[in-house]
Amino acid sequence: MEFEEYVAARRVALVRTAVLLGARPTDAEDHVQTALLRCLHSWRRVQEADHPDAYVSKVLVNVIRDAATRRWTGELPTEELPETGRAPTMGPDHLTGLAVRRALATLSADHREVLTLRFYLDLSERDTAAALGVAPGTVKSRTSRALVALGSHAELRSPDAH
Amino acid sequence: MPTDPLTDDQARDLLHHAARSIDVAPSGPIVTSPKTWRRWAPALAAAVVVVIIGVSATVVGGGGSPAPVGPSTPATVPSVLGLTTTDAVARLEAAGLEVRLAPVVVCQPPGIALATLPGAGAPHPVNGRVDLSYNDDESRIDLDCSGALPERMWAVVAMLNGGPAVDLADRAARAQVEDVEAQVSGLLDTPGVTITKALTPCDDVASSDPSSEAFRITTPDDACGLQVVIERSGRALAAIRVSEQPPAVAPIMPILTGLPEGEARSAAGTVVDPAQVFVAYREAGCGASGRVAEQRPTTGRRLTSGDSVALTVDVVTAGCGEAPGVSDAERELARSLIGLAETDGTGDEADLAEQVELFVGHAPAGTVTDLDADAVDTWRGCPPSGGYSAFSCPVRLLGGVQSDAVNDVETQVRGEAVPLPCGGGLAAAGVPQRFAEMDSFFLTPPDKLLTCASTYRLQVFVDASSRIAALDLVLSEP
Repeated sequence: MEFEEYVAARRVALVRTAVLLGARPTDAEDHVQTALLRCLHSWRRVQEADHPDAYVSKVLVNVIRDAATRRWTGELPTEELPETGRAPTMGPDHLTGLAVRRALATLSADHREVLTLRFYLDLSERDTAAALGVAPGTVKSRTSRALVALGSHAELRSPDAH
Repeated sequence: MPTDPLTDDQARDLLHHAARSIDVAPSGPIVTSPKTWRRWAPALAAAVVVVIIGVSATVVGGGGSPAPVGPSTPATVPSVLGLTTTDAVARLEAAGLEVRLAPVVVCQPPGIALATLPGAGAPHPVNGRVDLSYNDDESRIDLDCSGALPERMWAVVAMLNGGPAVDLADRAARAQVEDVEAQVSGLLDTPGVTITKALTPCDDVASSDPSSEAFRITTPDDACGLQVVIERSGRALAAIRVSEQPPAVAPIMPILTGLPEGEARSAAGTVVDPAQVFVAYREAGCGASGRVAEQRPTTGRRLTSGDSVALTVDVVTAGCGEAPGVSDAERELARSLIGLAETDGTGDEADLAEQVELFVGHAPAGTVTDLDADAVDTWRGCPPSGGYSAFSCPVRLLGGVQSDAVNDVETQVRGEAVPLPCGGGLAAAGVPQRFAEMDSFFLTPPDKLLTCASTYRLQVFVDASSRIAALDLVLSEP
């Protein structure tokens, strides 16, 4: 798959992956672009990989981890979001999605990563292990614990899930 | 309170719900050269045009036609601005291009070609594909479109591009043209948009012949010519210019950093006058690459006539001696490894074994595969036994080399290990025997920086195929 085709097909999923991994929505685009730029340099390797998503997500995870460890990002966080002036349309599905994101935000980065790669990007345990730089067994145990942690959020188990 | 874990399917369903709640703005066309990407504001809108009536001062009694405006060469992207999407696709395909539709949300009439990438006049892209932007009308309801270009203006723009003729023979039509000019003038407050000339005093445009030349309308006696030149920067309007000559395609500064000097000179000579390519040499130690280290202007800048290009080339420091005990092949490996670290993985590829073993303080700390090697961040690890480096675990194996670059000092290539001032023994007790039997060399900071705070010693093991097989980083005891 050529680079342009891959980006056209997977960019939205990658941006969403970045947010689910814990990146701020305002930074997610930048993280994805940084990751794709790194991949572009060695796109031949990505093409040769069994699963391009696994390779790209590995780079994306590293980009986000690095950004998270940077002490100063040049931006001041604010507790309250400013008014957007536009009320988004919120159906039940959207509210469920927000509830899941809130729950994810309470999990550890390890758990967020393994849940996102396994169940959003649908990577195999082996690919997830390669992307996270851990052993497949670690992915298995970490996934198990992460499912318990996510399941402990009662609001995700209610019928309307929000 | 213990709870049952979610099933895989439940988790998958929840994660996908979460993902769908994340709005992702549409992207601009994909740029495949490795340069910084920019978010493209939907207010692309800012369109267009203009006009002028150039006086073709030809001829006394000669009735000669004004010098014809050269058509786009077959190898350039034709202009389709203002055409219907269908006509635009047909024209681009007729030019041998594969068209990919790129809907955008802007305040412009639906179904009209707003821009292409590459832009009109640019050489055909290598892959033969061009992105065609048009208004995604269904999504514009939330936009404030009070400043949009009126629909009738697009008719003029389309005509200038060979679309259906608009009658310019009367004052009303003339007013339309002036309206276009006014619209363009309104864009002058937009950064990057300039207009170099207004309408000429040629009062009446008696007729139009849009089929004769794109961008040019002539009057019956050829006394007045109307010519529009549109320049773009990416997808945004960059300038509107009036010219008697065909528009020159402004070249874009290529990536020269990292190229050998000769190649860089040649490449620069294709975008500016070769006499305007200036090279400065910078002594960069014994491992200097002889390649371009800096370039001005930066990559992606659009160049104009008379621009010059300045290159800085790293050269070997005068009098630089050969490091004892280091072969030419090892020196080349060292150079590539240092380059990998200094460029954060974007430089030349180092010659690596399929799997490079990492050691910290002689203890195993991980592996890097050839697949990961470009991501310098993966060159890190923690020795399982902890030890003195555990306080800063994971340790970046190439961190010391990167620090040398940041501190603008030359990483030293040594044939023999040097003792570190605050500990860090010479005996590689934990390194497997198969590595100990390999050739190796050492990277360290210069002697003056062999201090407790900043020193390191990176032993590089080289296998029988002259590839890097393992690294062993030793730091001073804290």
